[in-house]
Amino acid sequence: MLKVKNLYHSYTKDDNYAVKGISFEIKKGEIFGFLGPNGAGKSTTQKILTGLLPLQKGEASIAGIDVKKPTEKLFNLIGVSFEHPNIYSKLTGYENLEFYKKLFSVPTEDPKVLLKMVGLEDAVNKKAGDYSKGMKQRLVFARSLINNPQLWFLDEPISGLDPTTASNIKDIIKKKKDEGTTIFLTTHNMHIADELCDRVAFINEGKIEVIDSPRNLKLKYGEQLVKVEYKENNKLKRERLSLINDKDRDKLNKLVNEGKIETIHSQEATLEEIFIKVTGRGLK
Amino acid sequence: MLNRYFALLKKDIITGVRNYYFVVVIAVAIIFALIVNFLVPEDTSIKPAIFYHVEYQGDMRENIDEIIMESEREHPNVNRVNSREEIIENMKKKDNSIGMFVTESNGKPVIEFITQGYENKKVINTLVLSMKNSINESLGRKIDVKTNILNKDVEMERIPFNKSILPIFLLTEPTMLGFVLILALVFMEKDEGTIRAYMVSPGRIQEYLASKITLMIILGLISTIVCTGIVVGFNANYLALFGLVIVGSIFSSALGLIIASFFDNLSQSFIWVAAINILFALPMVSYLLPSFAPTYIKILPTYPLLFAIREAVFPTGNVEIIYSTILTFIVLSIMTFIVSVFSYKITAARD
Ligand SMILES: Nc1ncnc2c1ncn2[C@@H]1O[C@H](COP(=O)(O)OP(=O)(O)OP(=O)(O)O)[C@@H](O)[C@H]1O
Ligand SMILES: [Mg+2]
Repeated sequence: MLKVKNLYHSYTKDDNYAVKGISFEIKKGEIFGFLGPNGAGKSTTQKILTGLLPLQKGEASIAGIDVKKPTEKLFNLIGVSFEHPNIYSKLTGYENLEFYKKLFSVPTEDPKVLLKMVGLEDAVNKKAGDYSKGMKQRLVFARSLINNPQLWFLDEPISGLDPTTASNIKDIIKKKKDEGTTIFLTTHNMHIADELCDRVAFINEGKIEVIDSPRNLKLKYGEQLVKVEYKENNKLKRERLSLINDKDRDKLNKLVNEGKIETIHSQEATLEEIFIKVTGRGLK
Repeated sequence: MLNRYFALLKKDIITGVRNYYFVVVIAVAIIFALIVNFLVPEDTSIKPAIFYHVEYQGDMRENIDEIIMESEREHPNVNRVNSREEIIENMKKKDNSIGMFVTESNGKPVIEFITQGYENKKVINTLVLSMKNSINESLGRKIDVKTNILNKDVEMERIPFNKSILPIFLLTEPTMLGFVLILALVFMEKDEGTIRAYMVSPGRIQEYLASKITLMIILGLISTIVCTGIVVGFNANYLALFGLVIVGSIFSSALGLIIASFFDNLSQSFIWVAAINILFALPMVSYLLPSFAPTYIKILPTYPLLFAIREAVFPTGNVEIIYSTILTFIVLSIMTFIVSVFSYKITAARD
């Protein structure tokens, strides 16, 4: 669905690259997570792919259409949800979607249905400029679905939303994936990436460090740990034991055999920990 | 493509209405018309220039010279020339002027007043009358006075001063209005970031810009109709006037779009906006002071536009200036529109 090869971008048009030779592919129907700290080059990459920045160097194509020469067809099959809500503040929520709908020449969704889906049914006729930040964000999210995009770009779709709304938005993303939509998800929230993404790319300082499924990354980089609580000499003790380290494994076996264990939890490495391990830096 | 244009236009009109653009434009036009009709005096003290030649050599010559000398003292613009032909020549060069020619018939002086035919009748009548009176008084007897009109085919009266500033309003408001208003509109969308949302849709820059220009044309026409309607009623050549306002609006708003593409807000672009506005307003000086028309003003596109608008509002039969101005502006509009599309293609992607 999306192919990117050796993509470079410099805002200053010199050797100072914000994106340095990125390559990846997204298969149809996949949710691809684009993870990295602030300033890593995530938005830059997304902007090139959506035609907001010129493609300076490298290759990129969406559904076989060269991003360098974007056609109307290309824009008809993508949907873009922006990190910073950008809506016509003088128009109502409904008018915003109604207007945007008419820009497309493919079958489109009913604005009212979309607004209801993101929980804005009570604000349909309210000026979007008077929406709260979270409402604006949901309006932009809904707008990006108006043309039933085949490739859906999401930039931080749930940051700043309350838990209920966030979970509603996550459900919509999952539902769209089940319907076959390919999703490019940009975020620095590892939990969301872990929960939603089929594969993730770790991007740092303009380069992709690793691409794999969250599960594989955990298997590959994450030490599998168990957290045990056990009694020894009538005292409660807590310990984290690795399942890979031989010494720890022996100790765990011993504790199990002696029947001293009171509680035991497996503890997987988080994507965040793996990210730090791979890139040598944190996400924040 | 047409669908998208109309969707954009609908959105821009709603935005314009909710930003009170329509209300303001209509209110300004009404206020201006009322000022013109009721507050600006019909005539100003600008007196026409007088060109004269005295051919008469009889015994009353001295008295006549005296009268002329006296009026020369009161009236700064009295010029002696050497023949009747020269009077007419000078008058042709100077719009606001009358001529006086004193000749002899049967040994008696005959005074001929030559007028342009479109002077304000009040001014001329009082002038001629007062001269007649003083001549009669000083000579103690009646002499013959003829009045000769140069442009007999011109039926119109000279435009009263207050109404003559209507074309200036029509140039600055409906026509150049788009220049500033469109900047405000674009900056608002840049601030909202909606331009980026538009850029990732199938909508194209041309449609986006054309819709904004269309809104400016609509506002311009409304302003024109309201103001011209109140000031001159049905006497204007509305068809020509609409044509001029439309092409002028396209040109000025496309120019505004070019400026807007390089900046993010009004304060950044202020110098440019002010400079261009002043530049395009310069022809008004020549309009009010016809003798001041240096080349650098004449080459400004608003120069012919202003005079073409006057011709449309106060027709004198010179339709050529209307056609040629519309043609010039069609070319200019196409050029500025193309440039604006390119400047957006280059800058809109910019963050
Ligand atoms: N318009 C711009 N002009 C110049 N440099 C820019 C511009 N936008 C981004 N950059 C630079 O490019 C680099 C990558 O920025 P980018 O916005 O792609 O980061 P990001 O991964 O999206 O970060 P965040 O998580 O904060 O959204 C940064 O060093 C940033 O300073
Ligand atoms: Mg970003």
